[in-house]
Amino acid sequence: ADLPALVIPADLLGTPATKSKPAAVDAKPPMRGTASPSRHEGTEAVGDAPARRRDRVSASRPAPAAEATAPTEPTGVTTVDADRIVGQQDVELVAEGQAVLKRDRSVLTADRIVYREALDEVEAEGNVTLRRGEDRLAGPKVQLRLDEQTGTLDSPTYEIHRISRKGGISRPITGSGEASVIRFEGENQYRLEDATWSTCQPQDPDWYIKAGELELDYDREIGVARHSTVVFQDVPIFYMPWAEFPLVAQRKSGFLPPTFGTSNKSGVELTAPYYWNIAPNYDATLVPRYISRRGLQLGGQYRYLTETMQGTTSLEWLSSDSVTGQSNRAAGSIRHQQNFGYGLSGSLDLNGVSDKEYFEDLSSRLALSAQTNLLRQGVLSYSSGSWWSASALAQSFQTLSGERPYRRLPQFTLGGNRLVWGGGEFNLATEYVRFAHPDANKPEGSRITLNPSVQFPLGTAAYTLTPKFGVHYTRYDLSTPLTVGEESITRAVPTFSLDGAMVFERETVWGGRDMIQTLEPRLYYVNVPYRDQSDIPNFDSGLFDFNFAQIFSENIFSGGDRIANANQLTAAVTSRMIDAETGVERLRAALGQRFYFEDQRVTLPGFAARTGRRTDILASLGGRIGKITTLDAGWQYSPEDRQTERFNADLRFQPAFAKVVNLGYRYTRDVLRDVDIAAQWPLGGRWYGVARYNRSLRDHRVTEALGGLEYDADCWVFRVVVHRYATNAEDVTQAIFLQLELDGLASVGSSPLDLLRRTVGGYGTINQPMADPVFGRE
Amino acid sequence: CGFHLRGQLDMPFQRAYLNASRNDPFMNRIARQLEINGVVLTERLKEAEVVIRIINIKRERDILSLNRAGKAREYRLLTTLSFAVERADGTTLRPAEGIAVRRDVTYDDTQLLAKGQEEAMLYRDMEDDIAQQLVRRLAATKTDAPAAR
Repeated sequence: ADLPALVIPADLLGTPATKSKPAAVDAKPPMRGTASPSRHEGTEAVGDAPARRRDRVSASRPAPAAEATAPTEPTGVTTVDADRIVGQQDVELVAEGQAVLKRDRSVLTADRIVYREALDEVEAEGNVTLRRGEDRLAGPKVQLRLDEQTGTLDSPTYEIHRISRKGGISRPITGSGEASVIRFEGENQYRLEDATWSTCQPQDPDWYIKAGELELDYDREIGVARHSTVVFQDVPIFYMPWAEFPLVAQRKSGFLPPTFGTSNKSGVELTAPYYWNIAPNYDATLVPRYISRRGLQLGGQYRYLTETMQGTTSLEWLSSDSVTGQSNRAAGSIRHQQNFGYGLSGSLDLNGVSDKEYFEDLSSRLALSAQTNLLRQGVLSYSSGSWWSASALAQSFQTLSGERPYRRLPQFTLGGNRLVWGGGEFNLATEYVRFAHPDANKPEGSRITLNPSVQFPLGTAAYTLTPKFGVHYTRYDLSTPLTVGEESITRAVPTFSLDGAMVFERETVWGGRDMIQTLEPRLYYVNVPYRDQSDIPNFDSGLFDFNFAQIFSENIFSGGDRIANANQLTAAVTSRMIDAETGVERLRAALGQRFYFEDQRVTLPGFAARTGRRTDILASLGGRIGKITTLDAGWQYSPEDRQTERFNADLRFQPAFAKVVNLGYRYTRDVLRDVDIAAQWPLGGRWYGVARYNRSLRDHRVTEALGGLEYDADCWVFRVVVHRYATNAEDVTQAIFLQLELDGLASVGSSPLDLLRRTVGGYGTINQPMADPVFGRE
Repeated sequence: CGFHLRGQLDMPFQRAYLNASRNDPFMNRIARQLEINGVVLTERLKEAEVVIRIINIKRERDILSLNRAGKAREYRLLTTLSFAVERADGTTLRPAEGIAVRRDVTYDDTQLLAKGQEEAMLYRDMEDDIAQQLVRRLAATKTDAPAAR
C-alpha cells in the first residue's frame, strides 16, 4: 500500500523538541485602553441612495505599548466603524449600519454591533461575517469574547484555509460547511452542531461529512465527527458513529479509500483498509478484504522506525477458502533492520505462504505472483569503520515452483580494504560457506575462499593505469563428492589485470545549454591461468549477463565455484554530455568489445565453452535526448553471425504532468521479443486515460494489459481500472478496480494507485498535481 | 575536434562534512571519490565549508519481462540517491535533487544464488556510477552565492 513515510520525532532523537503547538498566527494583546473614542468624518455614496450623505463614525482603542504582551507584535487595537455609533465610553458602544469591528487580523462586520469594552465582549446581529486572514465565518447572530476567542455563532457557514505540507509538497486545503451553531472554544478550536464539512467548493459541495457534532481542532489539525454520514452527490454512502479525520491532509488514523473490484479468481471484492497512526514513527494498517467467492480475508501491516531499527511486519489470513476448500490460507513477512551500534548491525527477512498457489489465487499483485522462491534470511554484519568488515548469514528459501536452490547455512565473510605502500590498495575477501540442499541427491559441502589482492592506481585526473595482482585460493569439503575419493578439493589461481583509462573533455553547446562533453577510452586486460575445476560441484555459480559491468570484471562467472581462465582485452569508449551549469549528466553513449587470446576451458556443468576470439559488440545510449524525451537503449551485436543478439529501447515522452507515453521494445535472440506501451494522457474535460499493453510477440500472448479512466473533480477523484496479466502458462488473472477518493478525507491512496504507479512509468497522481521535489520530474 | 585531456576536477570547496557513516560501503565509496578529488572530509560539522547531506537512498527491483509461465524473466534494478548541499549554518546551497541509475538483469530461478550475487555486483556498479555523478554535480555547486561569508 502507498503509505506515508514514517518519521522519528525530534524528542526521540535526543534533540530538544521544538514547540509542539504552532505559534499563534496573530498574537492578540489584551485591549484595556482608556482613550476616549475619537471621531472623524467621512463621506461615502451608497448605491441606492446616491443623494443622501452619510456620516460614518469610527471608534478606535489603541492599547498602551506598556501593556502589550509582545512588544515586537503590533499592539492590539480595536476599532469600530459604522454609520452611527452611540454609547457610553468604556461601558457599551452600539454601532449600527455597516458596522465593522477590527482587532489585528480579525474583522467582524454586521448590521449592528454592540461592544462592551469592560467585558471585552461583542454581540452582533444581521449579516454577521467574521474574517480572519482568509478564514471566513458568517451567520445571522454572534456573541464573542474577543480576547479569549470564545462565543457562539448561530446558523453559520464557514470556510477555513490552511496549507498542507505533505512530503515537501504544499498545497492549500479549504475546509468548509455549515451548522446550526458553532461554538468558539479558544483560538483554533471550533465545536459545531448539526454540521457539514468538506474540502470541496463551499457552494454546493460534491461530497461532505454530515455530523451531529463536529469538532475542528486546527492546533492538532484533526476533525472529530460524531454520528456522521459521508454524503456523495447527495447520496449517503457511509455511516460512522465516531470518526477522526485530518483537516490538513496530514497522516491521520482513519479509513483509507475503499476499493471495490471484481476478478475472475475471486468474484466481487471489497477492500476497506483502516490506517492507524499510532505515533509519528509507528503505524499499522488493517485490511479487511471481502472476496465473494472465497470468503473474508484479514490482512494487516505494522511499521516502525526508530533511531536504531526499522521494519515492517505483514500478515494475511483467510480462515477458509470456499473455492479450494483449504482452511487457514495465509501469507506473512517480517522485515527488520537493526543497528546495534559500534559498527554492528543486523537484518531479518522472513517470508512465507501456507501453500504454493497462495499468490496466484489471492494476490492482485504481479510482483508477488511472479515469484518462485520466498527468501528467509538473517544477517549480522560488523564494520570496523576503518578497513575491515565481517558478516554472518543464514539463508534459506520457500520454493513455490521450479528447482529448489542451495541454502547457505551458514555463510561467514571477512573483508578488508586498506591503503598500503604509499598509494597501493590492498583488498581481502574471505568466505566460509556451507551449502545445504533439501534434495538428498544433490551434493552438499562447505567452501573456504581466500582472495587477497593488491592494486596500484597510477596517474592523474586525465589518465589512470591500475595494475592488480591477486590470488584466489579455495578449499572444498564435500559430503558427496562428484568423483570418488575427492571429498576435499583445493584450487589456487593467481590473477592479474591491468586497467587503463583516459578522459578527454571539450566545451560545447547542446540544446541551448553549455555542456562539457567527455570522451573516455578504456582498455582492460586480464590474465588468469587455467585450473581444472571439473570435480567441483556448482553451488552458487552462473554466467554473468553480457553487459558493460561484466566486460570490466575479472571473472565471467558469478559466485565462487568457477574461476574462468583468461587472457583477454576489453576495449571500450564512453562519451557523456554533462551540463556545465549543474554538473548533471544528460546523455551517455558507450561502445565496447572484448577480445580473447585463448580458448575458454573452464565451464559450468551443462554449458558449452565459448568459441571465437571476440565477443559481441555492446553499445548503449541513454539520457535526455530532447526537452521532453528520454531514451534508454542497449544493443548487443554479433559480428560473427552478423546478427543482433539483444536489443532494447525505452523511449519516454513526457510533455507535462500526467501526460506521458512510454514505448518499449525488448529483444533477445531465441528468447524474447516484447513490445511494451504505457501511457497516461488527459482526455479532455476532467478525464484522464491510463493504459499499458505488454505483449510477447514471440509467444503471441499478452503478458500484461491495463486500461483505466480517472476523473478529477476538484475535491474527489474516481478511478476505474481493468487489469489482466499472465499468472502461469495457461492462466490469466483479470480484475476490475473501482475507487472513489475524497480529497482530504481519505488522503492516503491505496490500490489501484500502486498498480498505476508501477505499470505506467512517469504516472502522475492527478489530484496531487505537484511533483515530488526529489524523486519527481526534473 | 576540441577535446583536451581533463584536468583535476575543480571542487569549489576543500573541507566538507558528509552526514553519513563510512560503515556503509556505498557511503564509503562516495567518501573515497570525494577524497580522490582533493576534498577533506571533516569529523565535525563546524569545521566544514559545506555539508553534503545524503537524504535518502532507494533501491528498487521491478519486473521487466515475464516468461510464458508468468514468472519474472528480467528485472530492472534501480538505485536513487537524493542529496542536498548546505552551508555549516544550515542554509541551502543546492536544494534536494536525485541521481537515479538503473541496470537490467536477466533472471533464472535455477541459478538463484548466482543471480543474487550478480545483482549485488550490479548494485555496486550503480553505486560507483552514482558516486562519480555526485562528485560531478558537487563540483558545479556555487558556493559564492550571496550570504556566503
